[in-house]
Amino acid sequence: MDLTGTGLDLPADLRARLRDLRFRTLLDAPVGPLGRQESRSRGSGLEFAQYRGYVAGDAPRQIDWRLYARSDRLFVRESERDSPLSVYVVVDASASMAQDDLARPGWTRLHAARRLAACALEIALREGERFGLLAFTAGAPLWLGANGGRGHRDRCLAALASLGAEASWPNAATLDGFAARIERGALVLLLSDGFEPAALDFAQRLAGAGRSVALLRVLTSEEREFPFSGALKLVDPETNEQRECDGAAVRAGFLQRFSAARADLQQRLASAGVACVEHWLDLPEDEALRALFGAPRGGAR
Amino acid sequence: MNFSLLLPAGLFALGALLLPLLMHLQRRRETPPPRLFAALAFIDPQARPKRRVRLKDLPLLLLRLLLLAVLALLLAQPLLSGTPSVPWVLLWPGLSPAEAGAVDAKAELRWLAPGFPRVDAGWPEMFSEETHAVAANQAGTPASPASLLRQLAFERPREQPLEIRVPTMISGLDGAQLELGRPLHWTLLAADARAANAGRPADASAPREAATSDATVLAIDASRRTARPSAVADSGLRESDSGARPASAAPLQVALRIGSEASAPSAPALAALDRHAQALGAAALLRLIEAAEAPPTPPPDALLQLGDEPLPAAWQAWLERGGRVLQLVPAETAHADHEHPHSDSHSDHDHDHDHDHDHDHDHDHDHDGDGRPDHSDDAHSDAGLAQSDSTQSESPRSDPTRSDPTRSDPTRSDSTQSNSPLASAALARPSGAGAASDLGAVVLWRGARASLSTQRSGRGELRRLSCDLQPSCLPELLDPDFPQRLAGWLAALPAAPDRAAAAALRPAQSGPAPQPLGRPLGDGLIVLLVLLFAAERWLAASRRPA
Repeated sequence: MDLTGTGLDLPADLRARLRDLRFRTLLDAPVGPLGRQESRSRGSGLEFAQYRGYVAGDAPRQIDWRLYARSDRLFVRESERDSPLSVYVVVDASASMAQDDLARPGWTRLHAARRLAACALEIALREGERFGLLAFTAGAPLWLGANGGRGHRDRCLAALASLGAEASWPNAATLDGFAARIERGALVLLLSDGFEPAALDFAQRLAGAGRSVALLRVLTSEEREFPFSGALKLVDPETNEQRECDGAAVRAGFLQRFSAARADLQQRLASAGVACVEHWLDLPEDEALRALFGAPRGGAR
Repeated sequence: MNFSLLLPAGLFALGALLLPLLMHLQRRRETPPPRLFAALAFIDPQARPKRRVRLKDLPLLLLRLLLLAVLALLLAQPLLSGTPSVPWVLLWPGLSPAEAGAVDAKAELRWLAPGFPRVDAGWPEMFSEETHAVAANQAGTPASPASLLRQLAFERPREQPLEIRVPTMISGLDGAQLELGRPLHWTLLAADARAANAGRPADASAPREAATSDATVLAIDASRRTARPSAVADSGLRESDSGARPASAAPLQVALRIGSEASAPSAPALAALDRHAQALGAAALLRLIEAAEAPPTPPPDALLQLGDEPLPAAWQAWLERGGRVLQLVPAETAHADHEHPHSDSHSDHDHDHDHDHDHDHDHDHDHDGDGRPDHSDDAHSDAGLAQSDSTQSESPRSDPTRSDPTRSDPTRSDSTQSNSPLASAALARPSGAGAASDLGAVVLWRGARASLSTQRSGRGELRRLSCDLQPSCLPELLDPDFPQRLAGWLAALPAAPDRAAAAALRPAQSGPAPQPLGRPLGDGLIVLLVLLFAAERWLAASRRPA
């Protein structure tokens, strides 16, 4: 699978820096079975859950060879995990995700979101977590249920590679339907720029319904520094509203207003139980992930 | 050193400075390419794009502004004024420095000649014929003192005092009054001082006087004699030496020659001519003498040749020496000449061959068969010739097609014709008299169906009437005053009066103002303009590579 240019091919140094990251719940939200996650039981559990057909990428040791001897078919013996943490990656594919950065033309928010998703999938695969994918594309919503294994990781990557930034968020009923398919206690990573109220509302609803939600807000460096000067013609990708202004004249007002809005949003999301970390397009992706999952909060239990 | 503008209205061209400014402003108003920006809601909604007056390519703009400013300055005709120069005292041509009288120590004594040379530099060289020829070639017309006077009055600044010293009688004038537009000292020198100048080289008007004096001038057209321009009459123009002479003092001596039978006029035409000649003879205006192969001993005033025949050699020589021939060309021949200007020489040549061998015989036969009485009278001829050195006080004819043959037409001046081998060859060949060569031909009169043209031939004049006295082509033949008209066609053109008393010709102060004192800066500005334009093009091309 050629992932060049989609942001899904992880550089080696980034992959190396992901090594010490592990998923954990983010807020003091519902506990439930998450308490057992610290045991870090790897591999299959002791309690048999089901047989399923072999798919490419499954480890040979997971195959039930006795059953193969009997039925001449390959089956994989799956067991219930001891710590069934499901990680759902929700990717915002709205039009504003197509915005790129002046410092790195062509590297859009969507590229950064794909790379963050690939990092999360990599961590989840390494940790043996179940992971799923949700994105609202222009056609049918893209939903891949929680599962594990390299094959599922590859399916998720392929789905992400075909994602384009042209969709908009569906209505609240549709969102509620998908929220119901995310089980309680799952970790939801929302990769968005946070400009759509529907996305923020979705995150708050999920958090309120007992899911552990983290918003990775993908922002461009222009929104941090506003390096423009001279005449500007800016287009809002969501509403197609256009405005001409002078860069130097509006810079200070924009920076002050936007940083206030960012702080206000973080405050609002935190009060709703949603962790919010900003990822800037010109910074390495592992920094945002490390802010969420890096340093153990409150020490090891 | 003062700086002034001759035409300050030219500075209105400075308004064109707005053009490059607008050009450079307009390029600045281009909208930037649109850019996606999702956080647009956080930009101050009150912010307006700042309309900054930004000028693109400032060096190029400055260069263009400078270019236009220099152009406007050039249009305004800047003048760097200098100090007034010393007074000038100018001598009329023909005067000698000895008779110029006392001259102020500061003043410069100069000739009224082309270039206004100083008298100290010696003047015979300046007045040599070559100088005149050069001046005539450069200006198109020989420099007459009147023209020089106008040039002087315009070129010298108004602040410079000018004094003209003139003899009491001056020539070299033209038809217009001297309106010099400035004050001028007009000093008349005593007449007796002029007598000492008899041996002096001729001035500009001398050749023309010589040319007109040996041509017979007679009263011509009775119907036009009354017209007389009052301005010239009031200005005191009159005849210099002999004064006005009664116009009908002596009849015009006209020799009659009839060409070959083929081109001879019909009997009614001859009868009409005879009748008219008798009428003119009765009025003592014309005397017809019969022409032989050669001009009679007292040469006649004019030759009336009937038919499109080449002149005999003796008559041709007489014509070249200053005679006057009126040739009555049959209408169809003249018409053919006009229709086929390229083939006429060829056909004339054939025509000459057909009739050359029996030319003399035809002539004698016609002479005998005509039966015209011989009115040749030596005494009258002498009287007519004695009249020839006087110029005529008749008013110039008001015919607009007529031009003075002695001036204003370089192709007809004697020196030009003698200098041009082509013209002299064309006029000297024997068939040149019969050939309708249009070289130098001037239409003197144009009737309903015929026209009279004249042409220089040597020093003489060859006139051709494109009709052989037929009423069909010459309806004027039936007019009662046709004899006078015919006499006028045979007479010489009156010379323009050009001698006058200098006291009556004091220049007026009206007229165009003289050129202001100073040095015009136009040439330097043009050079600067070209340099600026080249720099602008270079800068503009290097700014925007294609």
